[in-house]
Amino acid sequence: MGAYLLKRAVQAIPVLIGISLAAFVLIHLVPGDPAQIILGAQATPKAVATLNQQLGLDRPLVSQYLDFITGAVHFDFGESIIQKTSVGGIIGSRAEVTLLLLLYSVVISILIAVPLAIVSALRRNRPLDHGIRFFSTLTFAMPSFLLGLLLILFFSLQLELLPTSGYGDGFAGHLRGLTLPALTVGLYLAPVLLRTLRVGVIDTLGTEYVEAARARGLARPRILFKHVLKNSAISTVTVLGLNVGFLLSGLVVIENVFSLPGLGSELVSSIVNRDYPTIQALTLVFGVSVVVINLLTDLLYAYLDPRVRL
Amino acid sequence: MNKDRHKKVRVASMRTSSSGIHASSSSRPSRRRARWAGLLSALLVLGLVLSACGGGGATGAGGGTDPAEGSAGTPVKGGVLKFARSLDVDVGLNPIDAPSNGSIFVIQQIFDQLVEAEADSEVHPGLATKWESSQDGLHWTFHLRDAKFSNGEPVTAEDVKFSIERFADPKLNVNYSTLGESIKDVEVVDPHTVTINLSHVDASFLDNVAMFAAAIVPKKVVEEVGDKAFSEHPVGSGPFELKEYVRGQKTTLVPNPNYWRKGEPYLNEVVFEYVPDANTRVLKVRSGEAQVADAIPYNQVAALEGTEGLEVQSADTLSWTSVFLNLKKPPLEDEKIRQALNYATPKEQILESVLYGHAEISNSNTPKLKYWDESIPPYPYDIAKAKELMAESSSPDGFNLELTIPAGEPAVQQTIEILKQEWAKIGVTVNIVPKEFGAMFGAWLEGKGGMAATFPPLALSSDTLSDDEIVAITLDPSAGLNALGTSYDNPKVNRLIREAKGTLDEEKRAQDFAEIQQIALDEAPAVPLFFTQSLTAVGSEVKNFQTFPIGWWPLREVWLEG
Repeated sequence: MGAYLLKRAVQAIPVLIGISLAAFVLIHLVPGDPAQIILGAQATPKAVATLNQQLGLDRPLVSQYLDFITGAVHFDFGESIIQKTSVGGIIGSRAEVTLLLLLYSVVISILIAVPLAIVSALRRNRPLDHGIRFFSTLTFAMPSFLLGLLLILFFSLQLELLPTSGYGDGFAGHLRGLTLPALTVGLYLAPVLLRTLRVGVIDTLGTEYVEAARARGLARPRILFKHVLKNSAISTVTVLGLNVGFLLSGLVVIENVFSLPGLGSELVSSIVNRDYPTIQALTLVFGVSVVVINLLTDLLYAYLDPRVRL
Repeated sequence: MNKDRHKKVRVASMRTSSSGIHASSSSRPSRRRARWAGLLSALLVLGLVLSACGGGGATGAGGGTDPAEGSAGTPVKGGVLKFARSLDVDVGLNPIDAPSNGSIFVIQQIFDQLVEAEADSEVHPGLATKWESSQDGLHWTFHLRDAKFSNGEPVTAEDVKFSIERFADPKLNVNYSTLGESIKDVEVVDPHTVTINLSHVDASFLDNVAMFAAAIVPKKVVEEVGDKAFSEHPVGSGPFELKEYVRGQKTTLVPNPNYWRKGEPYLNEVVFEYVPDANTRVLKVRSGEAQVADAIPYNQVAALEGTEGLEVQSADTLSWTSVFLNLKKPPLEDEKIRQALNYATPKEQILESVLYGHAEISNSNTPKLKYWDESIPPYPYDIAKAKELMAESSSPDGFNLELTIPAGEPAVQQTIEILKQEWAKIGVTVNIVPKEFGAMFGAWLEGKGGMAATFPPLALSSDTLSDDEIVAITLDPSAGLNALGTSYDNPKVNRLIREAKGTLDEEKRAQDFAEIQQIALDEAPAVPLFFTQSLTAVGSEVKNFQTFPIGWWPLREVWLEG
């Protein structure tokens, strides 16, 4: 297991270097000068030059990149051009929101997907199965901002149960504020899990060892949870891992609709403002997270399916 | 002030406007537009010239705005105002370095200037109770009132000298350096009197010191903590002080206990919640979680108006929209073609179907500022006349027009679709190129943005009330922006702009600006569309809420009923 982990970690290094380079080069290629954007239309070329010098953007790209990398290794991402505070601090405060939302969403999606997938698989091609599959296709296909607004209309305006938006105060407030967004993401994520898990359960139910377990007269719930579910979950875990990596940076629409100060919205506003240090740091953070999540997924995979470790 | 009075003020002179941003339906880019609006508006600061001051007469001895009274009832103290804003306090709260409306409009609640721009076209007393200028207009003496900063320290002439000299220093006031450019130095006459000396006559001087970047800050505190810390812990003499700022979420203000307008502010607390999504802002006021929401989308106004307990205030802003034309790209150097495009533009139809009537048809290349001449007729919609002009032009058979628009702006998209249809009737084939606003704007100013371009409804606006700066930027290439990317260059217009700025003779200024307006309209370096308005949803329990032309809201006057 240790060797396996080491191998995977070493493989990640060139990926990370590639990500950092891409993060740096791409944003510098996009037209639009931060100083011009900060100063606005009226800026004289002299003022733009002064500001670029203050921001250190007049130096050669190579030395800017080296500074970025040297800092990144020490977890020092410099100072935001726009917010004038440390980029590390900005990311730290925003990561909490996104991670909490992500975790909450995953919990909700599992709570929805697992029971429904089992029911669906056991009642294959019966009306209940069709009903579940129809419903999940619907929530999956619906654009998340629309789903989010519909949930707000129902839960906040009609029932007045939950706040329309915002992150709230304190942990209880955060949970209340995050419930609707997490439900929105959960309803998007659940069908993906449901579909793979349903297929997995159906396949596993047909295997010989399940037949054998049945023949031995084991209790149905025990077969289902100990033998079927664990073996069916392998591909679902992979799908979940991929989606979580994707969602980490893809929550921007949800964060926007629900006014949540997360990483995705920070990335968009940084790009719009050409806040180079923040963009570079965020891209790197997202890249590292995806690599780490993939690694964790593989480890979980290895735990679930010992053959992988061989 | 009651609402009726506001209306009168608006009609009589300048307009109120609100937050610089039109938020798009789903994505964050609106914030950046906001920033632009802030930049442009603040940048294009105009001279708010006090006519009576020209000859050295003292003015404005009275107080500022009267406390709320009249038909709205007697103000009551207390309550928390929750305000769902499209913008966050994204660049801190230091007046000298805040090029974003998200920050500027909150700075206005915390700080005072010597003089203040309010709902009309004149400056009003702020920290200065009165002021006078020398005969030659080069020396301006301000008499300060007894006021205190929120930390209890008095506002002194030394603080004024410190603040105004920062404003005049292009290294510190990087964002708005041209606005302090005429200031030579500041003399402390006595603890309550300062004289600001100018290096040359500047008709927009009073306007310039009325802007937020010239706010009076406590010298001692700024020197002690430094600009960066001051930006996070601002100390001003305005009606409110900062209680808490949580980036990306909210900004909470509480009354300044030492505020000099006795009795104000009425509110116990103001909470600006950052709600970037327009639909969510609408739901926020509808559910009562917020009492005020800004930047309401055009197509939701009618539905909100029908909601009990809510009204949508549309306030004239110092903002405008045009389709700008690049005169260097053939065949747009031909004036007849540019006029033909103007005649082929159905502004009434766009106003009705895209903006739901919340704008005013424009008769100018610049916004409705102090010297705007209402009597000049806008281009009428006249396809026959447009065809006639095309036939006489250098391209009688028509041409292809590449038109760059900001991506993700429904109102702009719809407007341009209508123009595309209409201009096809005179042989002009429009090729619409959507681009991210920041990228397109920079490219356009450099002359690399295609043949024509247009911007979001509130992207271009002014932070001051008279015309000097905006007119120069829009029409005079020597202002450094290539006449807003059009390459328009008429020596007569350029001369008139300089003359108007260099005289304190109000009549001459008005004449000059009217002449400029007419010439530029005739020569058409752009297709002027609208003077745009800001839309703010306000709960009926909120009394005395209004938006000043420069975009902020004097929340010190606001009180809550019941």
